[in-house]
Amino acid sequence: MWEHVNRTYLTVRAATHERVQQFPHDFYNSVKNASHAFVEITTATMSHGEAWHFSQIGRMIERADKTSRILDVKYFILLPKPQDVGTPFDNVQWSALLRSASAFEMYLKRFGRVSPSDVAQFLILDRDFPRAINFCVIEAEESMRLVTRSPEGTFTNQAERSLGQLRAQLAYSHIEDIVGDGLHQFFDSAQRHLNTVDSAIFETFFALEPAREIGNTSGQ
Amino acid sequence: MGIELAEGRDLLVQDGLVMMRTTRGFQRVDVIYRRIDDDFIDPECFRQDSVLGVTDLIRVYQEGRVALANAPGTGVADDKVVYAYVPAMIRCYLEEEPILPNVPTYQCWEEEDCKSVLAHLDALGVKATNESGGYGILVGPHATSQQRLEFARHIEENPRNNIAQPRIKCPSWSRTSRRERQHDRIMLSRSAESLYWLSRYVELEENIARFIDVNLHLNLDVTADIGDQWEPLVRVTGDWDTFVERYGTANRENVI
Repeated sequence: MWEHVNRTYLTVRAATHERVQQFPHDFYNSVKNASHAFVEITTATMSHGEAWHFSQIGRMIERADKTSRILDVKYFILLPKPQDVGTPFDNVQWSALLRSASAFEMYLKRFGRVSPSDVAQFLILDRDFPRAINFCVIEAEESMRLVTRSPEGTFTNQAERSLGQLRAQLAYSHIEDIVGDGLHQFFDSAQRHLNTVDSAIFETFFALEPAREIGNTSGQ
Repeated sequence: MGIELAEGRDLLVQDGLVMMRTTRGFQRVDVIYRRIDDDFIDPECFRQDSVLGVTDLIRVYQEGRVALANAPGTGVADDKVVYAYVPAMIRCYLEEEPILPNVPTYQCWEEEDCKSVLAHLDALGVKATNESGGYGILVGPHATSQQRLEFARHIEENPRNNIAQPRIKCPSWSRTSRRERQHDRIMLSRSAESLYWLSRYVELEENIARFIDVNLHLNLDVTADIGDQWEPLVRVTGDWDTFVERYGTANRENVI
């Protein structure tokens, strides 16, 4: 795993500006493949103990965040204006959005044709597609529970609580509810939850401070 | 072996005890096998600019609540020749028998030993007396005859600078199931944090590569009047403000 990370680092560092401009797809493909190989090496060679779960939580939070951000930014640009509906351009753009989440083929298998609300449903609520926000939150929450050993449906720290809240919201929502209440508000709140999870993980597991120092900061 | 490889920042002194930051909260530390110089071990006691050490460690040590293997000051005797005389020191000063036996050690500066070392270079390990980190070492059984010749010359030129030891079977750690379980539970906060961020960054890197790649394909597919899609891409990563500050406008060249 470390060898692989080092090799990737050297490849990216050695990439010259001209080469990337000239053969961009080769370069980006090699970066993507390096990431896939990293995940596979970790998953296939590391014991799925606490260390692996921390790496899984990091990966899933980052992925959920990025899926929510690209949807947030692109969805409104792409929402059809009346004169654009069903035009080829429309389809190309929506396909590009799906491709940005590596979701194009899996989406077509599931829904057959591109429609904005199906895309939202797939990328937000799908439980089986690995880049859907719901999938990532489920995985992160499960890894978190294996670290803390809290029983299902309970929490022992703020990170667990925030993940649980987000998971429940995703599990019990229709896409119509989410779109109806405002997609942008939904993404905002999802990203806020993920940020809370991130800082709570930091405080709970990484940056332990002696009790008296915590007392000082809260008193300020 | 269930022993954590800790850095200074993994440890801290709290309520007169040395504690280690782990994903299960603070764990008390009883013994430290330390591998950094005296000068840097405690900024409160020695060098104030040390960032490697643990503040107040020496105070806890003086109060007897933590043991330091390689006690402060032992660097004075950090010469491999001294090692050979430790059993004799124990007998002389403590009038006790050593609890742990020494590995047989030949002193190249003693004539008899030196002869025997030179005659058996293919079976012995030779170490420079004042080196560390693997420098100045010859592992006889794995060395080429050329390397052995070179070392024989070293030894003859400067006998005081070399010792030799036979290969021994390494002592092994007998662990109990309790110890193993405990090891499984404890993880340094620093390790957990590194893994968490390593995975986050690899995932981020993949996503950025994919976003750019898809955008490049898209720009080939659609006509230019649709407007460029580079600005949204930077907004996705949440770095828009930094980007504007550094590059100004979002076009293909700048974003990539």
